[in-house]
Amino acid sequence: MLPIAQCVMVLALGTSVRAQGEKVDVAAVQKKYAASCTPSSTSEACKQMRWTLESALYTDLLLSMENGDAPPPSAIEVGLNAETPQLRTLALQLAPQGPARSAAAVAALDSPYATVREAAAGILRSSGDEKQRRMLDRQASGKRPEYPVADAPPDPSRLKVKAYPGATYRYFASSPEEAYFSTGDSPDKVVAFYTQGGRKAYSASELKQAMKSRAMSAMDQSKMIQLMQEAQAKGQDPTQAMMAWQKSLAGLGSDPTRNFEGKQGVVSPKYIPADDMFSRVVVVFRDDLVGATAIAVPLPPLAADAPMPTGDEVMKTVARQQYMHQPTIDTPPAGD
Amino acid sequence: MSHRRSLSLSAPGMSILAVTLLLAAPASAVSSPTTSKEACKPGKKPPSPAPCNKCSDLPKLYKELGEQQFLRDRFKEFIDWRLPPIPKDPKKSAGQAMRDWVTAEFTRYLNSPAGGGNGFGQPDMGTDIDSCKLVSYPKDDQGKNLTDKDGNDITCPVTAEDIKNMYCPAVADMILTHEGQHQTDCKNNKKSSQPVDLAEWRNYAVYDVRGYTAGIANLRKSIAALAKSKQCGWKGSTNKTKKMPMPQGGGQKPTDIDVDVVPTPQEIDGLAKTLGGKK
Repeated sequence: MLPIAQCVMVLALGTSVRAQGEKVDVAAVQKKYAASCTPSSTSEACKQMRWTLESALYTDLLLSMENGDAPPPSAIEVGLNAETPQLRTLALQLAPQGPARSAAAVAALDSPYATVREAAAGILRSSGDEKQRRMLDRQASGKRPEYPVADAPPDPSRLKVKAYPGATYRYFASSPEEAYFSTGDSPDKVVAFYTQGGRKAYSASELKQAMKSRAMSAMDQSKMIQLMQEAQAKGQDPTQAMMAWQKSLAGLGSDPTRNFEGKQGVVSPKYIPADDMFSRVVVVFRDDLVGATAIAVPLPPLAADAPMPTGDEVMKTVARQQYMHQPTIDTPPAGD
Repeated sequence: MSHRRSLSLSAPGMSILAVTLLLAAPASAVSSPTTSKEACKPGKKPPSPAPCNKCSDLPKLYKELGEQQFLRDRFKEFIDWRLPPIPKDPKKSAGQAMRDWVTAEFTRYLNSPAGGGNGFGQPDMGTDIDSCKLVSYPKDDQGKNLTDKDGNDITCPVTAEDIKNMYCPAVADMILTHEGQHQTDCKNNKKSSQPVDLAEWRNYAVYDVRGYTAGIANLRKSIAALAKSKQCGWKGSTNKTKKMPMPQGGGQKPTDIDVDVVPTPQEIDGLAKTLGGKK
């Protein structure tokens, strides 16, 4: 029999995880930071101390404003360059209107935090100059978390193509479906990099033609039979082989030019398929909105590699979905 | 020229920076018992929780909301695409490996700029899957959950009334709604002719996303109510509610549930400026 304590652990499910704050002596942290770090320090200890102090500054700014005090310009200056998203967002709101604020907002568009980018975009929309406002047209659409959480550039394994050397991942123009990089190099130089090894760069009309030809040959039933026979000969599941083949054809049904042709600021886009089935097409163009050469790399859905349920798992999945479908509550139930 | 510069925190209005930040007091601090019998002995009554009904509490509640959404979204990944990490300890289940991963990610988040650079995550309250009753996780002097000699968390029975005495109303209600969802699901599952194995990691992820979703919906209600109160004066959004997607799992399209619209982070900051009574 299991010891009692272990039983308790096994049976206690459905927990509310919450943050446990640690008591912070801000004055001591401030003293230590001043003595051992500079704003450009990259050590973990300095970064950690900086975040703690930025968080404290954010709280104090709010409290002082509650008391009717005007925020000190030095606090706003720190805030505009802060890594803590809450402080940076607040500083953007508090900074006096003018070119400095707009410049800070442009810089904030490259923050990994969607909440900061959203605040920056709001400022540029209302008080940015024409060039700055046009840049917002490159903002990726889509739902983002309402809370501050840092986006991360996609893992190289998801990109499936080599990253262009020295290119910068641009958070504001990227989405879960597409990674957007920019570089100061010319589009020709970037295209030359991606066409190494015999890959071809297409214009939109050439690409559509090439995809049409590829689709025609892919419809060939004998190709599918051949693939299934090969899988069988290797002792693999022919059904899985067929499903993988069908999945690879998905790219042929989409139009990689749709988001680029005729779009504002997109100059002479070149399309470079990363595979023979056109499932991934890298797009290189001069981006007049951003003022750089853009490299757009499509990303597969995160669930693309998730295993498909088979056998018993199908019924379990259905039961889980039914369970998930039941309504939820939004107030505490009566009693215990 | 030296580039050494401390953060500019010396302006007069910033003198209050020396205030120490204590985000959450441990629910019940006990020395270091290692069995549930010892740990669950009724001890000293915890001090009354600080209220959270002022405008200046909005940023704190909003932070709590963000953290709960972070946790919900991490569990949701296990419904949509993520697989639990392979545990180093072979005795550890996939479900436990998943929970450990989420807790570790949450601690990492708390120690990032967005999380304020410090703190750690751990279970605060739970629902006993056997009795469908509430349990708490007693803590040591440092606020860390107590464990038995094998390193397993110790839990103690707790009532809704106890929880109300431990946390401010908005947080207590959020916890009670989160756990209330678990209790409801637990009871319904027991009654079901085809009960789901709630310990299995895929089901657990669904079970927990439902709990977090319920708690979040409730906390949004509290934040919206406080923000709209006379003292804070938020006019509210054009829409009273918004759609929150509820994942269905298995690649199915999520369905939406209605939740209260809350002020944006910018609006929260603005509201915190207005006087909400003396602190």
